Amino acid sequence: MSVWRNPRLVLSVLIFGGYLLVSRSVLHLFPFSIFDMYAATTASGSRIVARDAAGRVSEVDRFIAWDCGGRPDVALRRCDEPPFYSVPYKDDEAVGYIVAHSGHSAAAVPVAIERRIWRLGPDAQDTRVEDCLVQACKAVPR
Amino acid sequence: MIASPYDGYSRVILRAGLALVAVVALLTAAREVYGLHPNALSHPQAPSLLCALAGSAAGVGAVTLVALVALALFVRRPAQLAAGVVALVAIGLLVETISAISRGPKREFFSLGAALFGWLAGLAYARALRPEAARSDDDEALAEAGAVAAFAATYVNAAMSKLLASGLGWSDSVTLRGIILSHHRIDDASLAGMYAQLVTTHPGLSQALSLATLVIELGAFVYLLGPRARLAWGLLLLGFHVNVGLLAGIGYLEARMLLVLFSVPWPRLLRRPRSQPVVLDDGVEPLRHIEVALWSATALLLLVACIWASPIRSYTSKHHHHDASTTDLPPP
Repeated sequence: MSVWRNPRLVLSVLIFGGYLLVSRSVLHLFPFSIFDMYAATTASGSRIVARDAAGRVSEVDRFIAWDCGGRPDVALRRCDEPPFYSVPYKDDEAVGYIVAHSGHSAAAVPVAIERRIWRLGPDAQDTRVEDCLVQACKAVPR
Repeated sequence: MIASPYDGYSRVILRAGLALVAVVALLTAAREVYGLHPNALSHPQAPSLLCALAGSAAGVGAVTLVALVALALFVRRPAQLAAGVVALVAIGLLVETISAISRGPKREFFSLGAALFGWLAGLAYARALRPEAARSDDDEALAEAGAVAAFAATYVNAAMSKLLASGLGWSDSVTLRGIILSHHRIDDASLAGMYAQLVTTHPGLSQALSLATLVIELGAFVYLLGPRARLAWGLLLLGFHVNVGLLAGIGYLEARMLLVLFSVPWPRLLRRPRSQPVVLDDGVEPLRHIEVALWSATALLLLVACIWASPIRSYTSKHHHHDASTTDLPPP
C-alpha cells in the first residue's frame, strides 16, 4: 500500500517527530517538554532529616510542634563543600512541614534538623555518609 | 496502515478516558495554582497574567469552569476539535502558572498535555484530509494515532535528554542511587523501603535498572507499531512508572492512567459491539494527502522557526534558575 494511502503512518511520524523538534526548540512550554529532570549524572544524594537527642535519624514528619525560632534555612551553602545533589522540592516539603507544624510545647525535646549527604562510589562500600547540622530546634515526637 | 485495538470499534472509551485524565490534571493544577503566590522562587519574567491568576479564586475558578465545560463538549460527540483546543489552552494556562510561580514546570502534567495535543492534531489532520465529510468516529482513528505518537515521544524525549546530557554514563552505578536516596523516606520500614535500600546498596542492580530505564524510554517508539506492540511496551512503561513510584515516590498519575487507557484493548475486554469497519486509511486520495502532509510539515517548520526567532526560549530557559547552583549537577 502506498504510504500516501496510509494517513495514520504519515501523521504518526509527523507528530512524533514534531513533538521532539518543537520541544527541543522551546524546552518547556505546555504541552511540550524535553523531560530532562533527571538527565545529569550525580555521585551523591542528600535529604533533610531530623536527629533526636539519642542520635536516631528520621523524617521531620515524625515530630510535631517544631520550635526553631523561625523558618529553617536549609540553603545548601551551609553544607555545600564539596557540592552534592539535592532535590529542591523535597527540601521544600520538609521545610513546609516544619513551618506548618510549628509551635511551642512543654513536652518538646531537642531535635536537630540536619542534611544527610551520601557520597557514592562505584562499590557499595565506597559510600560515605555525612550529616550536616542545619538548625537546632525543639519538637514533640509523634 | 498502523493498526489499533480500536479498529472497528467506537473510540468513545478513548475520548472519555482522555477527558477523565484531563479532569484529573485540571483539578490538580487548579488546586495548586490557587495555593500559589508570587515569591522569590518565581520566574524573574513571570507574565503578569500568570501572576494575577496565582492565588485568585475567581480566576482559577473561571479557567477551571471553562475547561470542564469544554471537556464535557469534547466527550459528548466525536471529533470535537474546538472544545478540545479550549480545554488544552485552559489547562495550559494553569500549568504555565505553576511553572512561572513555583520552582518550574511540573512534568506530570505534560504527559496529558502531549496526548491531548496529539489527539487534537490528529483531528485537525483528519479535517484537512476530508473537509467535506461529516465528523465521525473515523476522524478519531487519526486522533488516536496522534495522541499515541505524541505520548510516546515524551518518553523518547526523556531518554534523549539523559543521553544528550550524560551519554551512556547515565546508566552508571551511582546516579540512580543518588536520586533514590534523595527522594525516599529515610525511615521507611515498609516493603518499598526495603526495596529502595536493596537498590541503593547494590550498585549492580542500580545500574541494571538505569540501563532498563534508557532502553524502555528510548524504545517507546515501539508503542506506535500496533496493538500487540502497544500492549507489550505499554506494560513495560507502566512497570517503569511503578518502579519509579516505589523507589522514589514519583507518581506521574496522569501518565499511568494514559498508559492503561491506550495500551489495553478495552473494546475486546469489555466485549463492545463492533461498529462499521474503519475505511479511512483506504479512502484517502493520495494527492490530497501529499498536499496536507506538506502543509503540515511546513507549518511545523514555521512554528520551530518562530520559536527560535522569538524570546520564548529565553523565557523557558530560565525555569529552575534558583536550583542551578544548589546541586552537584551542571546547570540545565
